[in-house]
Amino acid sequence: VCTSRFWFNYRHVSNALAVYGAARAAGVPDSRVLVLLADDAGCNARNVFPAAVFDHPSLSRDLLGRHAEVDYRGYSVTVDAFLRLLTDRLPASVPASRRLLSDSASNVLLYLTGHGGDHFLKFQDADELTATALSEAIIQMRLLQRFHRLFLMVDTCQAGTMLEGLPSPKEAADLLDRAGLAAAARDPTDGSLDFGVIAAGSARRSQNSYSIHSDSTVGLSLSDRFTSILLESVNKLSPKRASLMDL
Amino acid sequence: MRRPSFCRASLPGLALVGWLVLVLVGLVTADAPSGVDFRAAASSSTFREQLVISPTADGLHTFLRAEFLISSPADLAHADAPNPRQHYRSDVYPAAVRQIFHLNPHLEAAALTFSQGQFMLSEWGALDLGHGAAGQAAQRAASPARRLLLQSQELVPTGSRLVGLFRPSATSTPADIGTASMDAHLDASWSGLTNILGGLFCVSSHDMTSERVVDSVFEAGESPGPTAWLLSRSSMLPRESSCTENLSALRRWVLPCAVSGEMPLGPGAAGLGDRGVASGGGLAGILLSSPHGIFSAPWHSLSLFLSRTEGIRVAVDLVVPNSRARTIKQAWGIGMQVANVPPVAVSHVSLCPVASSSRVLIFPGLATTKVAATATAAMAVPGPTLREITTAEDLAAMLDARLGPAEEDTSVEAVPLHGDAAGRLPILVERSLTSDLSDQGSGLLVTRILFRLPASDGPDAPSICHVRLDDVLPWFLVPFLHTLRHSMVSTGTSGSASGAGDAALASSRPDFRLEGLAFAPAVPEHSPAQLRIDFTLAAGAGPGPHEGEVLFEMRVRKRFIHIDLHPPDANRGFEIFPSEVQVECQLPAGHDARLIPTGLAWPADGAASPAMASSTPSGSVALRYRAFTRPLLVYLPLPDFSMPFNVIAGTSTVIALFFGYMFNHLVRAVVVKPARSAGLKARLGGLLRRRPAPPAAS
Repeated sequence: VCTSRFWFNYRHVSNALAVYGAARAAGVPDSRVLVLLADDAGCNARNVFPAAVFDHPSLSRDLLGRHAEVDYRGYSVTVDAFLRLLTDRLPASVPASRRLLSDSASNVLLYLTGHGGDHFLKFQDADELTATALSEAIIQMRLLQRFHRLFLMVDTCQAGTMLEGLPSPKEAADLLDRAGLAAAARDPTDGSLDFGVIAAGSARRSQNSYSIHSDSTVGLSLSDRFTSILLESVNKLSPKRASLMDL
Repeated sequence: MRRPSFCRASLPGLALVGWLVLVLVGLVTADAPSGVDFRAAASSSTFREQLVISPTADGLHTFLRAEFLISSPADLAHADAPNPRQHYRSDVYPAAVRQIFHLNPHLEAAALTFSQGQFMLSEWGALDLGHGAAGQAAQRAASPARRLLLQSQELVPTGSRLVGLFRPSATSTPADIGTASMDAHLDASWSGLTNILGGLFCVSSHDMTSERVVDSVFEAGESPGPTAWLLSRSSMLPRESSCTENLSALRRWVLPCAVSGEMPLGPGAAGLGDRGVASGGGLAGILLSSPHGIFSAPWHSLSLFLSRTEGIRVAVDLVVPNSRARTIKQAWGIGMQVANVPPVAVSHVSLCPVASSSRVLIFPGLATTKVAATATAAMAVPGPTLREITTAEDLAAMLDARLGPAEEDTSVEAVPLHGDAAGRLPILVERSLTSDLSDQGSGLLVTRILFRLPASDGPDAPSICHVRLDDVLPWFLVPFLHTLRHSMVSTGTSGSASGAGDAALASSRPDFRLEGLAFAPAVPEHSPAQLRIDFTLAAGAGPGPHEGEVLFEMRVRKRFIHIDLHPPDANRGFEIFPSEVQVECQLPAGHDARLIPTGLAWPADGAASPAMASSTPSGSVALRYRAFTRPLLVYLPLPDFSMPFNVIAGTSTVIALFFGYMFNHLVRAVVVKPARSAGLKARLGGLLRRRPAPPAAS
């Protein structure tokens, strides 16, 4: 999800497209990827390379390519639409390509990038997704059994604060127990309860997340440090033998 | 030596295997339980592709149109027909479109377009479909779906536009138009269409709400049909972007062969910058393989038309400068390098195996107009060239064929077909909104119809244009209809402005006649206002050309809308829908029509019938085209967006302080604590001083 609008937030669009490309390169089909871009950088009138988005000053990898599929774009990327997408509280008329069709066996990667602050993430320069709302949505997803594992990555300033709303192990155990999911979530080897959420943020409280790869032709920074280094690390991993600890 | 185990198989076991084989064979060859003959349905649709190359009127640009037509299968005409599971490969008719009609039983036809850039009508000319007067008459009598198809072939507005034709419910009549039940029926049908198209083709369907839609009724015309009338709803989004995701959706979900032959990304491939090759797929696979070429053009449009009876039409139109149109491949940007990304290579060229016809239509212009530098005689204008592509070698040769003279050939000079610099379209339109200096909340909406009509050449060769101006104003721009004024400023032939009192130029002033005026006011936060003006301009026999402009001026007021209705980037302003002008002219023969010929009619037998702006028997030229103004950006009075936070913060502070003060005084009890007895040290001090020890501080 790219939550930023305006041309100078080009790098957030490229971040989201880069993660999209990495997912496709790993073999995830388009039918299982939902791309939300709050603004159009590729065909923006200010783009000197029409229909091309880059994330490296070498300008050798066009992230938009020839087969990009964007599911939500422009003004349709709102906090409300995002939360409804996560919890599947959508009208029946919304097509399948705009739904997160996950179930209890799905492993979901949720990547958010944009501008953020202490316990919030800015949407479209006008709205905010609070850490509380995000954690409530994830808890709902878990209780509705919409994922087996959820890997949440947030690349914004003070992104770590967005993760603080997630339940602690004790709270998670209590939630699962009350929902009757404790038995299924218990690890048979050590008896611990697995809520199934792994989260990573690009910065702690009071810490900024900086951009990288400034390019004079495009006139902007093309990527953010966290996402850039993350994808470099992912590219070095072998998809069949890699584990989360390698990352 | 031991005998193999299978030789020891018993007879009953062999019989069992034999029965299993027979059962399997029977299952494979049995008919499907639904009773639909898939084999017949599989061959019922045909796929045709065409590329049109045409010069613009200024001779400096080239118009390219890649057009793909898929005919409708017979079973789609009926809304209640079963929806058999069609494997895409067994039928060229795309399964996604079949699902669209299956899920929307009231949908008769839909047209979705995306466009970016400014179409320079005054320089490039207007798109001419080549129908002539007879064709125009036939259009008026055609079915609504056919008319929508013809409309989709014309110029499209900037941004996106969706037009849907819906059948009314079985019990409704034309008298029900405007009632709540009809609105509910249309709302449900429209919602279903916009959602599914939004999901497939990445259009902002959520913006196509009632505030931006225009409803009308399509009369069936003179052609008989099962439905006498259809409901039409259209929506325009001037701000919608047109980019790779829209093109890739058309290629993936609609066009056969468009994604064939490309190498998929393998594991470890970084990102989406696939260096796949377009190795086949005919015109669809090759021409649409390079989004950079399409979206870097000064103007482009993507068009999708769906109909139960008229089939599917996908078109990608470009206007590129001639410097980029040396060959067809270059014009489409195939082989164009973007930054350091290797260009899309065409490893080998092959035809689309399911295409029944592939052809290239080249209209004369820069392609064949070569004038020797010393020649003084005008060259005869050759007719359009139509080439059927039947082999891969034809296609490869066509892609690399030179469209203009070689740069190094200095012995010839390429001149545009329309060499008359004074030639121009008879009607152009511009629109502007000027705010009052003293009151920024109101302004004057001015629509200028610029006309340039040749002199009429007698009753058999009139010079007359019928113009229909359609304006859709959003509900927050309130028009005052009683202030609508029209005026004409005629510059005649001398170029100087002329008022009504200038008798010398009165004969060159065309007749203006208002044919009709229709207005539907807006419903706040619900529907836009619609204004339609029909008028006629007829030039007299005085010395031409008769030039000037007709002004329509109307005062408007900008509403101060609710803070929640502003978009996130409110300071950018609001895009107002483009005005649409439909022009039908009868002009004397020989008039330089300044048209871009775009194609041929597709007759039922598939044979080509080249036609440009044809002449009527009376010696006049029939001209028909559509024009749009540029989207208008309007600044509305903005609220202070920080005020909600300011009010909440200030109010919360006041309440907290007040609450704290009142709580302290009403609830907090004052308790007097008894003094403690003095310590040992104080008592000793008191004894020494011979007086009692002071009480200790509490």
